[in-house]
Amino acid sequence: MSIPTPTIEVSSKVSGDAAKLFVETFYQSLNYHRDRLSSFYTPPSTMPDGRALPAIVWNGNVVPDPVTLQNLFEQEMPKSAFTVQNYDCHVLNPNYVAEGTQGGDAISGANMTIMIVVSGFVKYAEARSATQRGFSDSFILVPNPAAAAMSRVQDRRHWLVQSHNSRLVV
Amino acid sequence: MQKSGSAPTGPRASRQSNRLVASRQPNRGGIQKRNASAVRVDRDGDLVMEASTTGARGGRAKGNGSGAAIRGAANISRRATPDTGRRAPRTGIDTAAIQKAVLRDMGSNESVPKGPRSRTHGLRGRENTREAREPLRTITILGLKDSKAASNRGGGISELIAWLERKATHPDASSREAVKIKKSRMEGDALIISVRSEDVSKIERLDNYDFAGAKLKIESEGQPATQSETPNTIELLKGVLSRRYNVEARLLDLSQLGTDPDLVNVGMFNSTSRESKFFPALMKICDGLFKSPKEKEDAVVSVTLASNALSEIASVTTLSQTFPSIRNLDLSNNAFPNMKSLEGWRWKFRKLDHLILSGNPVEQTEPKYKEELLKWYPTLTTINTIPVRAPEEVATTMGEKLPLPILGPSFRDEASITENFVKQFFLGYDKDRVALANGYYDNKSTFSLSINTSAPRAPEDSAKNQAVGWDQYIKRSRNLMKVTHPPARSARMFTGTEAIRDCFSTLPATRHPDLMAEPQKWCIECHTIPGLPDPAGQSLSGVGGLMVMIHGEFAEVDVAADRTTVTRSFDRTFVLGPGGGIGGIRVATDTLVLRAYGGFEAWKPEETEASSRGKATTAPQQTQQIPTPPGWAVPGNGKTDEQAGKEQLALTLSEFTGMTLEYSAMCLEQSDWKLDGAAMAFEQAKAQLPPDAFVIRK
Repeated sequence: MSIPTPTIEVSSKVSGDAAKLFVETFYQSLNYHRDRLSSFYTPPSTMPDGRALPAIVWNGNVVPDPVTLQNLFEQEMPKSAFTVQNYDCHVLNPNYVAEGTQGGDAISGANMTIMIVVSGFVKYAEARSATQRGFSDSFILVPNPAAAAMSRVQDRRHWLVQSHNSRLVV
Repeated sequence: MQKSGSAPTGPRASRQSNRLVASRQPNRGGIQKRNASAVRVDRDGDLVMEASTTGARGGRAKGNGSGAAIRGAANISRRATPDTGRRAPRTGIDTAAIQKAVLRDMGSNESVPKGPRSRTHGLRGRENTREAREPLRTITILGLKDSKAASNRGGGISELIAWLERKATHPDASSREAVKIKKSRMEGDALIISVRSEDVSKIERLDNYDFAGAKLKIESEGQPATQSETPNTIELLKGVLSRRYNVEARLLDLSQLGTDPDLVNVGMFNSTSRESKFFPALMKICDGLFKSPKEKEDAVVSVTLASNALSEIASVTTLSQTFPSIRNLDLSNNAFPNMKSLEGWRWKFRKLDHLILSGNPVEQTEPKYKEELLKWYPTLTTINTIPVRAPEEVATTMGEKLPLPILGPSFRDEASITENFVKQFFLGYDKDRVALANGYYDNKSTFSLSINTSAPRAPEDSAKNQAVGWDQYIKRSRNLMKVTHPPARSARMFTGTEAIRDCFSTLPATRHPDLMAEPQKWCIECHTIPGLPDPAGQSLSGVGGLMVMIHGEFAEVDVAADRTTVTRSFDRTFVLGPGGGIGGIRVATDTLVLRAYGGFEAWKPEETEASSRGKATTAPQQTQQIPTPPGWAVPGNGKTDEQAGKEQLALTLSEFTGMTLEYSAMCLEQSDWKLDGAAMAFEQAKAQLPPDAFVIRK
């Protein structure tokens, strides 16, 4: 049986567009709309090995769930200015249908999972205002089965973050 | 200062809390005979707490209610003798201005949410996610004990089950539609049954039916406690809350719940299912009392859960959702065995100022638990009534450090796959890229590289490095910020062994630092992920793999001249999955980001509080610089860990008291090497201490 997959052209375009939208909106939210942060991630669940999904690791801190991450940013993190200088993406799985979900049209690329790497710098307010710190982020995005059902267009995210590792590297 | 005096009051109280423990053991299933008499308590012996909150000490906790409120409460619980004369009325509805203050808010019925669906969702939360797959629903049947059938052989259980099945089944139902009880067990006096979800309502209809002379009470598990409880119970819980709330101290006293007569009388802890619903229901009611989070934060500054025999937070975890902003939390005299048992609150209570954990086994099992707590809660200034961090230090910490500290790598490998891969990969990348590509990549693997040409540099970056450009890479860079043309994007994505091998071979030769000799130059993290394409093409939901993030540096090598030319930094992210390569794995994706030399300071773990405290100069009035002999508090050279630990304790005490190390050691010795006990002894004795007891006279 051959699994239907999008053509190279389609997967390149769809993944590129998804990555562009994600990178633009995610860092915008980190900087200005932290109340939206948790909405970028998949709802909490558990992998067969018992580890929590989404996997969120921030400078070595395993953050248990997206709401905790959002609370940390909303309540404690100083103001930040993340600036993306470079990003790249790969299609990881061309046709991924999560257990218990329908999946979308595989040929259109709706079922792809996407790996995104981002490189840039961040300035934190207060004591760190003067320093530019380099950061490196890696994400895996998976299709959001609930996207089509969302009533408000602006809430509709077609991909959600299932893995996120962030590190200050400079 | 914990210890003997602060144990739960009276023999009944302690027996009661033992029950609470017992019912929280994991082996809660199965048929258990519960002794009904254990439920009864002495009504005089255990109302100490409620009296205390209105008592003399309550007045000490004013203002922001820090410290004193909880301390007061904890102290009072130590008074073993009941203060019956001042006890609040058991009903909790009349008298006392405190209660009025709370009840004013409690009067509104809006606090009880309507609509069973949403409530089910809210109350049960995520703890029951497994039920989604489990079609059976559980129902609790009470009343068997009072029926005539109870004296039958087997206690009438099989008779009750047969009766329920018969009564619940519609007379016209076919045998397939007949109600079947799939599983049953006794829990205390309650019969717990499991049925198909479509049969739940049929069983529920039998609520209040007579069975062998007894009225049955039927509660289905799917319903939240607030609904399955009668309105009386909601009123009762509100009464309990109002009685246990001290408006002056802004303290919610939830200590010794297991001996609360109002709760015990209604059998709140008679069955595990009821007990497990109790606390979430209580929190739900609390939530309904306040119009805004701000109002809640202002009204409840301190919470004590002391003396509840808690060995894990599962049963009370909703506290952190209902009261996320409390400043003071008293968990003393519980049974928390280690820090792991508290981990669920690792990221909660983000404004915590004072935490009391005395009288828990964790004190003994993890002597460094306070250090850990300081890491967990950046605003914490006091542990077990002892100042551990000056408020100024908190401000500094918050200002300079990020609340998510820089930690060492989070390396969550599976069967050493990442470890082996990384060791092999960079050796191969430096020496033989053709073999490397053949060994790890297959015809579906993808590789790309991108260059961040304007990334920040390390301050120590050399002028030589800065003079070198990116010419040899730039044509392959897939920086999607800059490369927007679809054909260019496609051309810079390398798919399959051959294309990847060819690309590798055109990139400059490299030399990475030795992983073993210079580990500090590497930051390697990984975690398991689901959903990779199944190479066998079987599963659409995919197979498991690993995501590997590596940050590091390499030198470019001019092979002809046999010298290094430039040092660059890189971030490389792999996704590894099962496959036909070396070690049974394959590289699914490989993304390489190159940037200017950025050094390796960024991922160096931050110093712990304890090690940085010696350097802290912000709070001389709180901690003192104490000169120490060489090797103090460091094990080795014949010194045991225990001795080193004692020296560390002495140093800590000296820092706070200004006493010499010798006097601190003496003081600790008399207090059984308990820091808080010693601190208290110091407070009492300091006026009598000779001047030479101090390094610096306070």
